[in-house]
Amino acid sequence: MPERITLALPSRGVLAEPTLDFLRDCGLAVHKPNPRQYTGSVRTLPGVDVLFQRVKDVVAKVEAGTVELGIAGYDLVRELESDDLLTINDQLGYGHCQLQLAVPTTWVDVQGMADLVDVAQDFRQYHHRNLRIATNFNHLARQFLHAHGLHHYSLVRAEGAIEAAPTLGYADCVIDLSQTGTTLRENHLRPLRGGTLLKSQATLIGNRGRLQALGQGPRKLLRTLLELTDAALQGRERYLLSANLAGEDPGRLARKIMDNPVTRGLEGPTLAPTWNDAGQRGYAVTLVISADQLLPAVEYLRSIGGRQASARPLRHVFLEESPSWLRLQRLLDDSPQS
Amino acid sequence: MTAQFLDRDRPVTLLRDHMAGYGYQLLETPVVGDASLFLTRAGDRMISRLFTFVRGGRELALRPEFTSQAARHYVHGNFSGVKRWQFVGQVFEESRQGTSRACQRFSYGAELFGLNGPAADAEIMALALTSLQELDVSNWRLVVGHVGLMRQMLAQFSLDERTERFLINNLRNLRQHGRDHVLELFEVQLAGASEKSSFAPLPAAETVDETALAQLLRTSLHGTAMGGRDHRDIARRMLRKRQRMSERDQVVRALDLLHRLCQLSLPSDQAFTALNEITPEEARPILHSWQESLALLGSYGLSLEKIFIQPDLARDRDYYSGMVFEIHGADGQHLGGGGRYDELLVFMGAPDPVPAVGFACWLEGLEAARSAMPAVDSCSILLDGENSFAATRLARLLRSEGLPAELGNVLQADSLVTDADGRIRWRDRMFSLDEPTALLEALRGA
Repeated sequence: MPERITLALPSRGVLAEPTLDFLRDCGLAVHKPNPRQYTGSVRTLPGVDVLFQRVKDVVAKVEAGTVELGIAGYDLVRELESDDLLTINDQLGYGHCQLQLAVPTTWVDVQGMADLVDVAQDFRQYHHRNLRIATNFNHLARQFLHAHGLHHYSLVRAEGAIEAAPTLGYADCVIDLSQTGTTLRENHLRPLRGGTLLKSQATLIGNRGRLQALGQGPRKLLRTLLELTDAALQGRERYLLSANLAGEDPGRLARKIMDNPVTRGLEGPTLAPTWNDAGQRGYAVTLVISADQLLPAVEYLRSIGGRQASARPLRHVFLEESPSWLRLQRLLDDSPQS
Repeated sequence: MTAQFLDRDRPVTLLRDHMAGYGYQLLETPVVGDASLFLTRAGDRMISRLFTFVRGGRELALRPEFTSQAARHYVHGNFSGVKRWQFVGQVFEESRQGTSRACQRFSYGAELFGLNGPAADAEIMALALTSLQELDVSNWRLVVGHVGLMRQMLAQFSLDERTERFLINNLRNLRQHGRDHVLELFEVQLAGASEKSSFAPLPAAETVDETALAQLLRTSLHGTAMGGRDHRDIARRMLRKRQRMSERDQVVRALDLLHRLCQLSLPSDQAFTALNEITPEEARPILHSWQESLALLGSYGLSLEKIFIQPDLARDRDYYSGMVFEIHGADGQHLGGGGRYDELLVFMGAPDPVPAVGFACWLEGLEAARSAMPAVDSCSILLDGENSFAATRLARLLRSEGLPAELGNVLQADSLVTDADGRIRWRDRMFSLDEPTALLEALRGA
């Protein structure tokens, strides 16, 4: 029974830095004693070892059960698709990209997947070969193509610059990750309508068997880790808004604030009495507001007698339960111990 | 699928002998093959259920059927003339429930190459149906359709080949969801009706030809990435899309005809009367030949009352080009099917179409209709920890006399109990290992 938990993190690539930033924001700063070593630790959570791996190896190691936890792109998790690989939280809020089918911009006759199916038949009829698609996501590509009725194709494997394959002439189109579409455009490619295979972001994954076998100690560590990441993610989207309101009756003020879904907050307002120089009674209200509702909330508070307001970002918001922890429990319960 | 005890030797021997009696030679084909072979002309449903995997850059698959392998063997083995081949073995297909569990079935079937006409079609249907009788399955129903007849009837609309295939592949949709639904699919999938092309300068004139359009594209398109297509490919397709859009009226008429055909799911005699009325002159020969092939089944001693026509019968394989059939059991379960597929051999590399017709059935479906195989009835010899030499000698003696024998450690009512000296007790009678005649007589008598 393992007494410690190992968390595998991407050592380089687009996810490497943002992952360390994310963990630091969660209060789980990773300490790496030697930049050339592949191990590290989390000082706030002794018992958690960190292992730095190439992102593909992160997924492979978690799947194989060499480590308990890992952070990698959702795209790689889905490509591997294994019963032993649990998706604990697929929305860590960074590393956004999508797996996208793109065709040369010169293919003006090709607008959607149905066109591509037709073109694939053209390739067989007039060029006596299959449509060639460059990709590193064979499994997802096959699923997607068959689901769209495209059955005759060849997948071309290309390490590195997949987007260049159609220009270089060794593929006809590509299925690749795209963040902004700039790389596609620079290579004279265009995303096909209806050609998005999946949307991906950084994802926390775990190994089913290893997590099922955890003892009491590591189990607690795991729960803390999930509580902190969930709370940081919840906090990221929320502000603590304080404002001074004029008024005598706290009950009436509270009702007014609760009346508007924007200012209802998580559990309703906290009101504290205030007195100004003139001895007038007022209240300070404190609310948790979702980030995109900050201005509407201020506007509304003004309309019911609000004067100054201040807001600050929240680092952690703990809900009644950690959603990731609940989800993980469910995933582990659903399966027989293997 | 879990392990199970089945004795397939007896039914398999019966089936092999039965098909050999019609002149069919047993052909063994590999269980694993190139995926592209099975994908050559398989229909959508079947393709999505194929088990594929990659080894050393080759995409391989577990065989889902025998027909593609047989067709390729005929072409690549440079066979000519009439060949009759039979197959017996496991085939693999993902189950319909969408689980990833392996689904393997025991299939048998036959392919007849190089012979055309109603007699060949009838032979394959009869071979399939009489094979059921060999396995004591008499409660069947034959449902027959004809892809070739349908194509010939569609010929009057001079549709492009891909449109025609689209319509035939969507017969099930036509029956279930109606004409407008299929028309909508046609517009989206083949004619690109919903698109707003980012490319404006397509000349309105009907006269624009491929060369001119390709030239125009060459001068107006920017970007160096062409994949494997040149301007002419793009021009040709743009014109074809437009052509298909102008075929819309024809497609509507074709769909109306197909819709009427779909209504004719009737016992064969009534169906042919109705079909005669709507079949155009040029398609009559096909209709008559079809009718004859079904009438011939009577000469095989098969009951014509069990035959039903379903003109839109669409089987899961895309390679059928003529008569197609399915065999259903008493409860409507699918026991097997087949059809004519002359064009498949062209895709395997034959210079011209080769007459080809075949069928396949699944033993599992047939076994359900029969009683479970009894366990082997053998003599049980008790091992008590001290008699192993005597017990082994006794077992050997019984086996050499043709009596199955097994050693066990549980006393049963019928157990043979022996001691170290070779004395044997069976059903309260005593025998001796040195004088076995009495024991053998007693056992045989039981």
